Amino acid sequence: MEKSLKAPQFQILLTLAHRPVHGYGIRHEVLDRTDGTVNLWPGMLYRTLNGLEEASLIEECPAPDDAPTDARERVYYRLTDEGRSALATEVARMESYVATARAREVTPDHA
Amino acid sequence: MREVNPRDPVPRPVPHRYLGALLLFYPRAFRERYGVAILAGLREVYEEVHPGAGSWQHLRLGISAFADSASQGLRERLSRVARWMWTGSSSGGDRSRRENGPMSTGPRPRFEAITRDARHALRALMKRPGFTLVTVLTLGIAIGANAAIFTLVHRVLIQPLLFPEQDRIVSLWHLAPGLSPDEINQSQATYFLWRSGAASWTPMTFRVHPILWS
Repeated sequence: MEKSLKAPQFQILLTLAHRPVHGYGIRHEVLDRTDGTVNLWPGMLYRTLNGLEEASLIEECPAPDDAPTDARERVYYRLTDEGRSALATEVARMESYVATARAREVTPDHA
Repeated sequence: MREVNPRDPVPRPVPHRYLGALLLFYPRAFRERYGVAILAGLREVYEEVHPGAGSWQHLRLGISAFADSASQGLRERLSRVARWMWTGSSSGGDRSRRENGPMSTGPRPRFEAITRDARHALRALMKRPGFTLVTVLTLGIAIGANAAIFTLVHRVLIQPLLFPEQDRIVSLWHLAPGLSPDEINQSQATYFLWRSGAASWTPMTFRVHPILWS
């Protein structure tokens, strides 16, 4: 069975799913999307990025054409095909968990 | 070595000099690659709470920055050591291949080679019990003899005596030229005679055996 992604890895791959983003942009987007529950401090952020890059799930890329001028010198990251596949596998795993929970009548209404 | 890229985010003046010291938690190679980005990231986190932040928020920020750098830096060091133990390379597999060239089959399996050699040696020894017995006996006798010799040398030559100022200890005995043996035993009365008249040494004692007075 394929190893599941850790929360920071999943959040970073999810952030990069639709466009290349630079490191600090990843931190901000994850913070906004998770209502501040996943706070990627710089050390954790770049260590996770390093691990994902070594696993060939992400890669560095040039800044997009529509990137702000002050962000053009930043290093942007994008998903590789392996990264997209790993993200899809994780989403499928999560969907199966959610389906099981729904079948047992555990819904967000109980929160 | 990998070329240093422009880092993300764009560097700005350091608000606190101590931030740079936090990078020392990370391994050198990691620091060279991500150090500027981590530092700039910490600065931007700092600026998110600045300037309206109170001293309590600054303290919390400092503790969090320290905890992040310490935990991530030490984990990165440990993972590199573990990777080196198992593969012989502290960098990732793909990166190692890039550095070693396209014909490289990957990092050298250092630890695996050691365990494989040990298993092979054990199998070979079990197939030849006579040879194994002779080898074990030879090693045992040799190690035992070495230990005995070293113990003797240690006791006689290396281990200091129980007395202080050992260089001032002397032995006294009587000589009787012409007799055989010419070093002769002394009575306890001689010891008391010597002690009562001794001016150059103190204290003085004697041993019944061996012959020498000391």
